[in-house]
Amino acid sequence: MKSENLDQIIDRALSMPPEREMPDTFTERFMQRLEKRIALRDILFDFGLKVIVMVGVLMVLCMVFIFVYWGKEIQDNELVQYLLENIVPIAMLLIGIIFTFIIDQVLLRYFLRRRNLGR
Amino acid sequence: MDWMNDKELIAQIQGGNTNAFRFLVNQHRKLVWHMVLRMVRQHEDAEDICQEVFIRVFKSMAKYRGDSKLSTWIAAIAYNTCLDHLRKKGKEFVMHTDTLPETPTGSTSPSTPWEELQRSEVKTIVHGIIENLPLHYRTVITLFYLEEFSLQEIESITAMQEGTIKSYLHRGRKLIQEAVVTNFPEMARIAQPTNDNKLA
Repeated sequence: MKSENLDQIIDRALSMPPEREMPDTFTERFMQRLEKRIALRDILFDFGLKVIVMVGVLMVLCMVFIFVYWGKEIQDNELVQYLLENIVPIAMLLIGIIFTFIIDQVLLRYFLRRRNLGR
Repeated sequence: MDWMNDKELIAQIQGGNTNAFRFLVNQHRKLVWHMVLRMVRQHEDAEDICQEVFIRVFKSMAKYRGDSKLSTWIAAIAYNTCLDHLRKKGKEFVMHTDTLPETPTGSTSPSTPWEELQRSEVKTIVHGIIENLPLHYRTVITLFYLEEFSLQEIESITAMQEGTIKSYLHRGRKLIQEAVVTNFPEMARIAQPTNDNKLA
């Protein structure tokens, strides 16, 4: 020790880590957080895919409908008349279905996976 | 999980193996912790920032090409995360100054025998001085002395020129030496080793 000069002493001090150490539980806590994120990302990806498929199917149906009734008076069609007359309950029903779909496919799945990860 | 090289590890993580990522976190947690502590200095935020660094590492995994060592790449992410944090907090983002804001005073009095200082206090004193150095000084000093990165690696981590890094190291070290000598005048005697070093 005594033979060391100031440079060596400083070198040694500089190569020593700070006093405060990282908590031992850091990795576990971080991995739990990461796995929750991955779970949410996967669920949202699945949900997005299903929504795209549903919207795609609806668009195809609409296009078929337009193609079939091309050039005809659409107001004369019974189905269209029925839809226009009941637009409010139909819209509410659709909103209910979408809401249930989100609850079931995203929130419930996410919280169930979160609970399983926590165990 | 046993030791595996960077390429194998990355391949495993990119294949969706979360245990491989756990291994990576364990391997590099100290590096990230030291960088965050030294750069940000707020101990209460340090753990959150470390988590943010590893989240960014995970998200950017697909971009890692293997051009540099994994530790260098992770250190670069940690460096940028800390800069972003400091930017958000509006704190000393870039300070180009050679002056020490405040010279920390050691917990010991100047009359303490220098042997004792060498053993237990110099580390505390030097670390206190580093904490008070401007951001770039303490970053470069930590990467070079503590994490043992080469100048080229520090260049790729911080995007500073090699000459600038050398200058920060040289001037930072000088500031530390001056502060040690100011705090402990008896240390000045060993600054230029002479026969006086052999004092009892």
